[in-house]
Amino acid sequence: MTGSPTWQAVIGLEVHAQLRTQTKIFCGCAVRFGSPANTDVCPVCLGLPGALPVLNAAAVQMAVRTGLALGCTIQAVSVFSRKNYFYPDLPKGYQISQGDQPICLGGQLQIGRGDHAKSARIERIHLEEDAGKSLHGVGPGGQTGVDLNRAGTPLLEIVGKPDLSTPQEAAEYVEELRAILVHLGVCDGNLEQGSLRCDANVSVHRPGEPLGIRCEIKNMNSYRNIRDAVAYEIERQTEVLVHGGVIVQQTRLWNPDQGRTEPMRSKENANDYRYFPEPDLMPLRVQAAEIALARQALPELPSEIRQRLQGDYGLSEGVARWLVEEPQRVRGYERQLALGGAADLGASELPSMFANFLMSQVNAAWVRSQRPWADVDAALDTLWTLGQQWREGQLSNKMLAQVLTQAFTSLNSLGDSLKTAQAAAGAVVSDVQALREAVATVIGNFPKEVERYRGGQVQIAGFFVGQVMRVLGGKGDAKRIGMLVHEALTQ
Amino acid sequence: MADEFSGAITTWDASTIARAVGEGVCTAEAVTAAHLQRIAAIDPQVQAFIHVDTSRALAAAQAIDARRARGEKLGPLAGVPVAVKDQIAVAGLPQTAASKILQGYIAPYDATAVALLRAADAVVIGKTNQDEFGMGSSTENSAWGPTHNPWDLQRIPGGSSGGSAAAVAAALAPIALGTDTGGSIRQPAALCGVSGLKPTYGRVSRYGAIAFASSLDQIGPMARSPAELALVLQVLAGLDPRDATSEQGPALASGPLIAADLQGVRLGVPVQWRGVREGQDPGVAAQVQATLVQLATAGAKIVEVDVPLLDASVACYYVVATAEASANLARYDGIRFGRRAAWTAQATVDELYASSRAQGFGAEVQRRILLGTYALSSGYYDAFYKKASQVRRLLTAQLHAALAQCDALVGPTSPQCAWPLGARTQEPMAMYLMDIFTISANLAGLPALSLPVLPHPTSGLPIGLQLLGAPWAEWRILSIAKAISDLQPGPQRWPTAVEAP
Ligand SMILES: [Zn+2]
Repeated sequence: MTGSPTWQAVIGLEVHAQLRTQTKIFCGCAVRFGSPANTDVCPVCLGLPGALPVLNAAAVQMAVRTGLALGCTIQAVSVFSRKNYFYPDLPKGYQISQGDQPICLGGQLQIGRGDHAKSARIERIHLEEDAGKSLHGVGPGGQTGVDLNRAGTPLLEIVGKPDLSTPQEAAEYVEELRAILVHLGVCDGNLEQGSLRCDANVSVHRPGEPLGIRCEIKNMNSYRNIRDAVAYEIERQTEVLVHGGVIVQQTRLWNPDQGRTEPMRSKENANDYRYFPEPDLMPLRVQAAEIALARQALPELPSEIRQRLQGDYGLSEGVARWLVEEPQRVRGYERQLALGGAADLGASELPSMFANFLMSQVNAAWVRSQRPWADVDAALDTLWTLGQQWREGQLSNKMLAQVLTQAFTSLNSLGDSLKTAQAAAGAVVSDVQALREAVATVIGNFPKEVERYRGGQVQIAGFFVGQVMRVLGGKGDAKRIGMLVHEALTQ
Repeated sequence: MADEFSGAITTWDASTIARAVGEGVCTAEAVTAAHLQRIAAIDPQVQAFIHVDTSRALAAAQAIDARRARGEKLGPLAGVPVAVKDQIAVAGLPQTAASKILQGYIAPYDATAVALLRAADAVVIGKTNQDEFGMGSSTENSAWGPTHNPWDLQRIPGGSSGGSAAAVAAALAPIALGTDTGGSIRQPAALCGVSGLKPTYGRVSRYGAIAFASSLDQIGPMARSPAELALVLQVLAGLDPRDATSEQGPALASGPLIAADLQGVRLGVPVQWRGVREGQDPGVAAQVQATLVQLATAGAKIVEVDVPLLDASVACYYVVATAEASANLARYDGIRFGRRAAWTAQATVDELYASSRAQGFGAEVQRRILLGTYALSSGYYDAFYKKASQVRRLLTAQLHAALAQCDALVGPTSPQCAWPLGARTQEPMAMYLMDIFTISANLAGLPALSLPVLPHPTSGLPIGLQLLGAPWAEWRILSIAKAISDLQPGPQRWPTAVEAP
């Protein structure tokens, strides 16, 4: 039914980003993952009687940076509000958030490529505190426990206008937003761990008619989830409407195992949050000078970096996008280009070759290894050499795969392991005498094929190269073998 | 100067004690022991204290003595026993705000005000009774039973800081801390015949005081004279990095309080206060008027001022205060600390919240949570909370304008003297109207104090006079208060219903 031309989806996303401040938004407790439950806590984030919040200036600075990067207007005065509801992991019985006076208004995000390029509007960005976590079944009798280490972690909520119309656009929106946040250094952008969370408001309607009733979809912790959940929801709503039904406004959870969205308990849909200004905090004032300073300090943004890489080095859009996805990746890449020292990188094929090499061969091995990218980053110099050897044929595809797999699965530093694996794979046979002998052997073994070649079927040259490689145990210099085969056959 | 230290230690005021301990006339331990002894003898009748911290108070006093013995200079409140309202956190002591819902909760940290008192070498001797979460004007809304007025044990001490007021009046402690959201320091001070100050909003850190209505709450001192209030305020005042609503503010004077020269002091009487008829005891009005006449004779200028929105202050207050309270009290849910209702495995967490809160909160607290929740609810917010906030802004502007014409607004602190226990518990509205003179200072964030003036002509019960000042003008109203008490010296009076110290 998604394909039905009469129904059109309207999608708006709300993204929550955990800010990478040293300390929580309203107290001095450390923000970090993995501490034992309830150890990164104090009277303030536990909501103990008499404790009061004090705003962390670093969180404000990050909100300002983000707002500027997204083209928002930073508000000179914004106001914190209390959002009231009861939940065991919400220590105060209210969340300190921002209501009708958020820190940033307006803005836009460019998504899509080529003909599908599109500007999605940002409605607002506001600061708030995260809640703790309920840990089900941890008590001796299977009771639920509450871990408040996360309570008070600063969050930025970025609310998009309903400008998206396909599941693909929704995923691209989150991808691009994530890239911006990680390049700004304000969020580590981990969807799986929940440092970046996305909720989608989805409705469908017929063009020209008023917007449909929307449902909010939660619990999507990967791009794939986002695409699948939004696609499912569009289809579900369209199905209902096509059959004359009505959409009930509700919050639905994506169930990735069942591949469907399911309504939350209706009680959780009936909240009146009773927002009112937080009396424990004064209105937040951001000075024009602070904003100007933050604007000056903005780093090069992902779209700008991509454009530069494509323009300067002739990288494809896909490769540039992949590199820029992680700041460390693109920084390492550019550092290596400089180190590699090709005289005129602009005119050289080296930058593009190296980028492709990283995105295909190296990335495949890296994904399987589950090592941090920092390991790859530290071994870029070795990979640079390896990539060139491979490109020049001194290393066969098979050998390269073997070297990478061995190195990535070793426990040692990747650079060292690469060198060891390369040595173990054996030196490439590029000695001309040895190669000539192998070529002569192969030509002697396949007289029929030699005749066909000499009869004009030059495309079977590859067959001879393969056979020579086989004789050499895969360790031959493919490029030279090709030349020698041609030389021997045309004599 | 020897006679300065004559009489029972429990009759000494804070500055006398600090001097005696500092100069080695007596030890901090002796001062603390004397007060603990008097508490043991008298408090069973008054019931000012919820918790007396005998052993740690003595240990703290001994530590102060040891420091003096080593030649260290002691702080301005050296060895001065202080009673702390249960609303305020003292590390290691129960902090229940007189509510069953906080039964068993021990504060893990000191409120900033308490830490400052300790740094000035005061000795915390215990936690005092109050209305639950500060909600009440009689200290009858306490889960631990009422406090009795030392002037007449059958009467209420006022509230909500009734325990602190009674403790100071009965010479169980020379000074005490209270909290004031709508008069909770000034009204019990008035009804117990002591002095009490609600500072400018932001002058004293709220960190560690259980929030009732965050934008109205202030911690303040209670003592037996304006000079003592000034001494304690000097210790408490200042910006606290833990309270974003605290401010450094214009500096207070250093050194002891000096009485203002009444020549040239202008005191404003709002026509709206003079017009209060409902619940106004004519004896109270008469004595306040008599005091004003004395002041005029002494050279003060008494002027009438018009602050029209004072008439709306009670209505405005009960919307703002209950709205904030409804959120502030949400954390008391029986999940993480305090008292939890019995839980059957079948009950949902929502049912557990409901039963814990229904059993843990008293009737008045539940009433105010409901009022506040209603005022913030979708569809009612504009008519109640938003409207009340607008009235509050306008009232503040009107008060500022009135205070531009005079040094202080003056009037009775409470329309009535202490009333009999149980007399008003069934009439919440009549009880709310008792706050009519005090709540405007909280709504506008202004400093205000109460000091005892001429006693009631027929009952002889204490009457309090309220002075309300411009922002940060604590020192000005304190010095006027000192001039007034100098004008009405009379014999030193101790409460008549308990044995004199
Ligand atoms: Zn904390």
